[in-house]
Amino acid sequence: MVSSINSQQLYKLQGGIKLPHHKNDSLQNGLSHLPIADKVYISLRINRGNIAKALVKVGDKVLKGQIIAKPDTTNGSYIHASTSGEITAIMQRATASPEADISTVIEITTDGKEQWVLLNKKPINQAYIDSVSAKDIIDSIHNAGLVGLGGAGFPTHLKYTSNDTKINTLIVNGAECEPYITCDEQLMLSYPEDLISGILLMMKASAASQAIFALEDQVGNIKSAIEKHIKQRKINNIIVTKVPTIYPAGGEKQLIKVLTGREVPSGGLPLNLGIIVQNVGTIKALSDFISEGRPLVERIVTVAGDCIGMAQNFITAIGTPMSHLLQHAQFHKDKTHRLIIGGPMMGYSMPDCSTGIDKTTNCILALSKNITQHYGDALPCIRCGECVNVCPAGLLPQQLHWYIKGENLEKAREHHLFDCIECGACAWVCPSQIKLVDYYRYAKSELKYLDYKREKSDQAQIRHEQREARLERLKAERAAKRKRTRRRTTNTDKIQKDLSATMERIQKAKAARQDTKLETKNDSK
Amino acid sequence: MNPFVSLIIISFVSLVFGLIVMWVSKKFKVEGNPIVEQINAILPQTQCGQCTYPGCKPYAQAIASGEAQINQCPPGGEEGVKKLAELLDVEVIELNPDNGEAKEIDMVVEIIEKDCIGCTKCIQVCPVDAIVGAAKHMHTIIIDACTGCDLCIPACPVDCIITIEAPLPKFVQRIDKPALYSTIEQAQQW
Amino acid sequence: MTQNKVFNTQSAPHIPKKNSVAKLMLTLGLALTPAILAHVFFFGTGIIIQLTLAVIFALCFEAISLKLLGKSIKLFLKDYSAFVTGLLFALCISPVAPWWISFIGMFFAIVVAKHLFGGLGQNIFNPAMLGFAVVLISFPQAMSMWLPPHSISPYAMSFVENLQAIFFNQFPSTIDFDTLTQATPLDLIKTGISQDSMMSEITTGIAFGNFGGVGWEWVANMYFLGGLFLIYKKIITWRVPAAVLLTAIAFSLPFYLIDPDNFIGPLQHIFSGGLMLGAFFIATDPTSGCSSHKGQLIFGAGVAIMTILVREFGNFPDGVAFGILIMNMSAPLIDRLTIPKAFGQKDK
Repeated sequence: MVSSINSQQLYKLQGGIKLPHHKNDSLQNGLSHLPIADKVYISLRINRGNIAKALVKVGDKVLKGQIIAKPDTTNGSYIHASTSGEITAIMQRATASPEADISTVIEITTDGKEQWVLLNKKPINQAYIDSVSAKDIIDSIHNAGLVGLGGAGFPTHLKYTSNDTKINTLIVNGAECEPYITCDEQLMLSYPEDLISGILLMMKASAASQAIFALEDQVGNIKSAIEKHIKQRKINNIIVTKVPTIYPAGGEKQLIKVLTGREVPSGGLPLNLGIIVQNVGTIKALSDFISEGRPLVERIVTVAGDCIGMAQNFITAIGTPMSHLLQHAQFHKDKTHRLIIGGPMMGYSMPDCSTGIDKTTNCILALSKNITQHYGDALPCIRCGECVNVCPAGLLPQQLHWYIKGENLEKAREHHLFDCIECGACAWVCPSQIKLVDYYRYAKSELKYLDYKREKSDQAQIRHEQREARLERLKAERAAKRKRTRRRTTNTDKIQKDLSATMERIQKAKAARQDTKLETKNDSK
Repeated sequence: MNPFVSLIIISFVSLVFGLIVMWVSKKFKVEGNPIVEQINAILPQTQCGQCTYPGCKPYAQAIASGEAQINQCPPGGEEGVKKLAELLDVEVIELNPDNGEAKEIDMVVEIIEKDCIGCTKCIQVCPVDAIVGAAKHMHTIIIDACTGCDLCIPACPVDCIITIEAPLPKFVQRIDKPALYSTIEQAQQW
Repeated sequence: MTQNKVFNTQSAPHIPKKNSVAKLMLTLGLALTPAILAHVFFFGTGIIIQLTLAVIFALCFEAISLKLLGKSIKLFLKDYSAFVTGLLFALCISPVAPWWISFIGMFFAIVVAKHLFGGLGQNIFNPAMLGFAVVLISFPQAMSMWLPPHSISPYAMSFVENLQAIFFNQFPSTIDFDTLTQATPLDLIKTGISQDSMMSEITTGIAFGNFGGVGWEWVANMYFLGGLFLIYKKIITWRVPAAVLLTAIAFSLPFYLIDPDNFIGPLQHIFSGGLMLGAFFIATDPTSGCSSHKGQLIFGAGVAIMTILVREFGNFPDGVAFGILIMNMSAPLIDRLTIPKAFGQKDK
């Protein structure tokens, strides 16, 4: 396997679509620091719908980088204050998540001083990398509150703490396959050196022997810039590779397939193949935490779309309201039809612009009706098969749709519904304009619910059967007890009989003795 | 041809086939669930008794013996009837309203703990042992184990048991089924 | 926080592809143009009348069905699927077939095959082929009455004469009816072989060209061209047509090699009758065909085998319609047996 990577051979991805890039607008305006907003709204949501526990209360003063919430279990990540100021509310509020879910949010009214907590800085040089232990790095990852910044928000430290399989390869994901989004490209342009340091740390933490840095082939001269830095530092186990710009080649499983030719098993993780995939943003955040001591409190966010006058990338504090970002990018609110968090293929549309950005918010898109409008009417599926040709997971989307429409969910599961990555390629090509992904999401949620119910009813059956068995046993025990008592009663009779017999004998004996006594008395007389 | 020859040949052939059939049936024997078990697996195991049988298994036995209809289980709902019909290869029929109505949302019960007098009556009727408590002490319901059969509600002398919506674990989030289209206007809004 | 919805909150993808069913169907119609032109060139203007008739009947039946079923007429007439059904049906029938052939054919195609099965996207059978099969079985006389191509025809019918023939069954009186009309090449072969003629004798006849019948082979070429255009436009994939044509050649070759006097040659097969039309335009109908890639190959192969069996051993001169209808029936089964391996699933 290693040799196949060294030769930089690429493998073909099944399906996929070619999309217009729309990336230049935001790249040409460069990267800038966004001034801090008056109020930031930090969501306490962590992965799988869990909520972190707030460690601060209303009225507390916090410093930038201070831990304000911690997870209940080790599977979550810490949440830090992204600016200094006062906690003015802990409330239920819409968050930057699908359907703008309501969740617990901490509101910080900023004081504008941006005062940091005491930071622990260590320069990342070869000596440091040699001396630090893998465990220390993993602890740093945990303490920095790192999550996958590519979109899924999976707590990063979990990837390194599973010791079932030996990790041999770290894949650095610099392939943003969705149109408009440029935050990763901007980051690679601006901080190649920090990235290399971060990659070395991640490799140390995972004990991976090599790293593959994957870029899209449409990016300009980033590859040579990164290779220059690698050469300068005399590193020979990081390879930079360009992958074809096909949506969704930047998806974790798809990227692994393109680079190594191996498929992550259904229902499994890249870890099962001894591979860790890490977004460039996450790697930069780790390098920041170790060299500057700064936890994950800010990220690069792309603001783009045809309703944005000045599309660009901003270094933004986590929790900054979208309205603040949009304001600085010349937002045309009246023209906007949809406001999207994430890319145009998988992003979710928000009802308004008041929510604060999350650690995973990579892009804010404001699109006009011209772009979001469908070309034709929504019609029934004609089974044209376009979706089969583009599905990167090798599914039959039209059959899935057919079964789900008919509530035949088990059939959909048989057709590998759960291997769907919800990339939206099928819905994009659909000439009948069917929102296929909505159907799959519905079916997945419903199947999970039905499984849960099935499990519950199985448990109920066991509990019922055990109860029946127990009642039966108690009844049997009671019956046995009664029987025993009865037997004992019969025994008493016998004993009594025996007793009376004995008594009789005794009395007889007494009488006999008395007789003899009398006799002896009489004799003695 | 001598009729005896053909007789012998035919007998021999049938013997061979008979042996093959025997071997195949032994080799590929399907350890199938008896039909009662299969029916029972479809029933929702609430043990509520709305079907007029004292639990799900007795109802399954009654269906298997042809004594009961498949439409007497409201907690199983239309879905359950459909599955039973498929298993038994019979017509799908509507739920029998005499047995009660199917509920839209899953419900469980909860004890208003300050009102509980500790009479243990509910514990005795709970078919799945989902109530814990001791005499003269407050009782409580293990919500995860409650099937929502509501058998405890009439048993309570002080009416301190109420139904509440069943909580779902965090990983189970139900999403509405998307509508395909119904009007041109709706379709064009996309 | 009050939830004031300012923006539209439809789900992703937010940048739809400019694609629609109507566009798909119109492209299909466009791809048929070269073949229609070739048809007009060789067989006269009758086909134009047939196309118009079939399309009008198709749209009328579509509108009536939609109305009766309470569906939106405006929405569904705009998808052009009935239009394409009409075109395909008209291309299968004789240019001088009476008008009621179209009427009956379209009734079965649109009302029975399409709307009784649930409308657009729900039909088990290809509507055009079902309509064609019904009229083919019911009215063999009217269906076998073809015109000879211009180059060998003693008389060219004008547009008005075509109209008279189609609507009033009046043929030009200046010329003998039997000279005016001629059976199709496949018909000639069928009758020839039943009369113990050799294939070599039959095909040296005036009606035969290089591969198929004179004129016919050119129409087939144009279908091929249109089909390539559809593949280029990604409306259809190469799988079904390739499977049909290659299987037709492979399956007919052994027969031809063993007994060239009684069996039709492979090239004759693919350039005759409706095989080319069927391969590119009808067997590729996604609604009634297979969805998995492997299934499409099996589907195409099945169509070719059935067609050749009917042509060689059946009672009808051509079997494309029957081949397609039989494979339509088997499509769900084939699909079930050829569920592709999903990403990350283990090989079975």
